[in-house]
Amino acid sequence: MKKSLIALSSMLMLGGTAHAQKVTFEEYDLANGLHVILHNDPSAPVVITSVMYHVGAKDEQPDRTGFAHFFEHLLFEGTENIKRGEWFKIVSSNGGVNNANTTDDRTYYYEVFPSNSLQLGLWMESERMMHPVINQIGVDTQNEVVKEEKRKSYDNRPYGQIFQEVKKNMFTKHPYRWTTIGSMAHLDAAKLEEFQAFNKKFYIPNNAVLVVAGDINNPTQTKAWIEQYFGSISKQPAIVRQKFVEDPIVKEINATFEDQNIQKPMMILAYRTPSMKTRDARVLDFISSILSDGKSSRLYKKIVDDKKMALEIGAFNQSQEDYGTYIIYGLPQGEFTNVGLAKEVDAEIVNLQTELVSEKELEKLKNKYDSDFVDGNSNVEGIASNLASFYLLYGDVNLINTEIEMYHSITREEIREVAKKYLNPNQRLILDYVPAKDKADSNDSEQAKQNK
Amino acid sequence: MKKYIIILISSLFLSVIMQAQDRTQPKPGPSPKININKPQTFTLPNGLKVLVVENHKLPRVSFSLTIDNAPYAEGDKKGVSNLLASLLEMDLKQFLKTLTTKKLIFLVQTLAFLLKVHMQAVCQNIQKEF
Repeated sequence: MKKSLIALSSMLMLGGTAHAQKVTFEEYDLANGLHVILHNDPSAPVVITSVMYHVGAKDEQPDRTGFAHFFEHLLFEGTENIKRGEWFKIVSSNGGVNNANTTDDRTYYYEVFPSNSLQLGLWMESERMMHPVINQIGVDTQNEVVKEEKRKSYDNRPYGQIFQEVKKNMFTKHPYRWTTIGSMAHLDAAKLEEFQAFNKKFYIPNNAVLVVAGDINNPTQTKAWIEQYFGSISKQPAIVRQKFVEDPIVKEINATFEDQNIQKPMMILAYRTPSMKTRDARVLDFISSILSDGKSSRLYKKIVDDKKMALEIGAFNQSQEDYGTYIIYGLPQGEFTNVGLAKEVDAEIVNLQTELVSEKELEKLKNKYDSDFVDGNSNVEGIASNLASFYLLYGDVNLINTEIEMYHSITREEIREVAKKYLNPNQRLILDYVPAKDKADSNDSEQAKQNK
Repeated sequence: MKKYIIILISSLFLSVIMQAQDRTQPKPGPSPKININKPQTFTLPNGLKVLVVENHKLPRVSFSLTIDNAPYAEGDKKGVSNLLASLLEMDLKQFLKTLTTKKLIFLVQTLAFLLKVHMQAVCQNIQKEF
């Protein structure tokens, strides 16, 4: 019994003095410009191979939106050595899982395999980069798939068009003004040659990072495979990117959107914030947590718990490469209105702009970010994605270990100053997101009758 | 045999070109072994069995409490363990809300079937609370 207590207490003691984990990695470039990052962690016999391409919705032409996301689908169609429809069979028959995702800034493809299939993962990603088959049948198939995705996830989902409306109003020059899923009319109008040209321009070794993370039992062999499969892909002309600068918002923007799929109006306030690479963006992360993260946040406690004015209040803090968007939303309850909720939110923001947060609240925040930092690097998939993002989007792969220090150095005064700088009424959009009139009326009155 | 020798020789001399051309689907290597460490175990005087697994890869500790209540124990009150699990989870979350405002961040999750409670916290703060 004594022994076991000692074991338990020693575990707790050790915990108390343990330091935060450090992610170790090795990085180098191939001659064709492909950046390679290796992270060895043999604790489980799995390995992830992933490629992040620096292409997203913001690299599209205004009359061809949705291309980057379309390619997330299209590049599973097949390659010169992987027949159409075979991709997923190869992955699952070798005990793997795979997926891909697209944002406005980048596209990410990955496979997770048992570590004895590392070579297979590398081969598949190199096939995709070297010679994907882009033909009419693939384009036609994925066109239908993407349309269904749009109907399901946006057009027919209650409150599914928030981002589309916010982006449209918040950005006038920057490509962030359109959605990642894009326009179906644009995709319909696009010719096969346009898809092929988009692939040739962006999905190239010198616009990508390859990450191998997990049980790499033989680094020398791994590097030889990488050279074998990726080394022969030719370098392409560097991508010339246009820089889009938005004028500051100086007058409150008012907009209304009618959603056919809802019965309760929603209040939406959106503020434009700086690039996620800036220090201010990290301070705004703190502000977002104080105001709206979880049930112990200031807005939730006041508006939902205490005053019972809303069914729900929360926020999306969109961190992006060029600009961010901080979106606060709320569902007013009973007699309360969007305008009433906005007033309460404003009062809390003014409070942040005038009063310092308490030392205790700041400590709680830092604990939360410590916890998120540990969780974010708790498995090899998370580490692979973080390594790729920090290298490709933030331009400093070491942030995987050091970003937390930046959060730790944030002061109470900084929180106040940053709230003053970005969260003023004249810098924002108020979006009245309401039920569509004709449809909602009949539904509402019917429901009212039923309730009586 | 001759053919193999030729391939071998040419691969020695033209290894770079050969490698570039070999784009057939690679075969998996030998299956890897999974190594899971044995836990230290002991039993408290009240009969609660404790398993301790040390792993210092992350500064994080997870706790989970599993109660062996087989489905037949519900008798004719089907779903009672689900209700109890939900109540426990609500209660715990309420309790943890007060803790999070202090020092700890917890993840709580209950699984009804086994009445399993799972919590997780970052280490720096564990000692202060327990």
